[in-house]
Amino acid sequence: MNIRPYWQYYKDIFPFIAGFGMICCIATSVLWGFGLFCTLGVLFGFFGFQVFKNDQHYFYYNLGITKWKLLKVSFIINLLVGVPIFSFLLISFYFFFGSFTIT
Amino acid sequence: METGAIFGIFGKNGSGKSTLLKILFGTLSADSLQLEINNKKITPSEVIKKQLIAYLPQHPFLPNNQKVRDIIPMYFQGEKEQDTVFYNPFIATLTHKKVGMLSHGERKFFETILISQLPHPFLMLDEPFSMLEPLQTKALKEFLLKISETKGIIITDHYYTDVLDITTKNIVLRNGKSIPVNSIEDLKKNEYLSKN
Repeated sequence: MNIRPYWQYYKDIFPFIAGFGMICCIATSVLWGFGLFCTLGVLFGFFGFQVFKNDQHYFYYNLGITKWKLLKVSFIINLLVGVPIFSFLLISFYFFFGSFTIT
Repeated sequence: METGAIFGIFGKNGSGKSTLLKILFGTLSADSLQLEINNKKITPSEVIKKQLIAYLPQHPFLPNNQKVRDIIPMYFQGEKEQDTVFYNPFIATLTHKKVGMLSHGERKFFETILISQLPHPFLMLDEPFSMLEPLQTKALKEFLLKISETKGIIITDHYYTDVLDITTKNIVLRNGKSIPVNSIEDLKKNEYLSKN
C-alpha cells in the first residue's frame, strides 16, 4: 500500500483535528478534549476537508481511494502520529498559559 | 465505453457535460444508470474502487501546498512511470514549483499528464485544453492519440476544433438528449455553434 497519499490527506485534515481538540480541551477538560481528539477529531477533520477542500477528493479517487478508506486510515494515523503531536501541543499550551483553561 | 476510442462530448454551459462525467465516475448519483465497460456491466460504486476510470475534473484537484516533484511519487511508485512524467518537456521545468504557484495552463497540463499515466483502462477529461498554450495543446493532442491505442478516452471541452481533431465519435448534449455529431456543420445544426 502506498502510504504517501494517506499521509498527505492526514496533513491536510490535521489543522481541523488539532483545532477541534484544542477547543474541546479549553471548553471541557484536558482528558475530555484528548479523548474527543482521538475519537471524533478525525471525523471533524473529514468534514472540514469536505467543506474547504472538496475538489481535492478527486486526487484520492483517481488512486482508487474512497472517502471511507481515507477516514479509516486517517483514524489509524491519528492514533499513531496525531496523539503524540497533540500531546506536544497540549504541553506547549500548558507552558505558555500555565494551565489548560483560559479565564 | 470501449478501449481504443476517443469520444467527444459537446454542449452549451449547463447542458450537463460535467454532471454526466461525474455520474459515470460514481461521485454523483443518477435516477437510473446502466454503465458498461468493454461490454461488462459495472455499478458506479465500483468505478473508483476498481480503478476503472481516471478522471480529470474541471476544477483544480491537486494539493496547492505540494511541489510538483512531490506529487508525482504519490501517484506512481515505479521509477519508470515517475520518469515519464518528470521528463515530460513541459513538466520538467516545473518540478521545483508548488502546485499553487503554477499558472492555470501549466496546472491543467500537469494534471492531465499525471492522470493519463495511471494504469486505468479509461480516461475522462473535463476541459483538458482549457488555458493551454498552443505548443502544449499540440503536445497533448499527440499524447492523447498515442495513449488511445490502449485506453478509452472521453473528452469534453469548448475548444471544439481541438476535440474534433482527435475524437473518433462525438455527441452534443441538447435539452437532455445526446445527438451524434461528425463535423462542425453538425455542431451548428444543433445550435452549439452559431450558423454564421
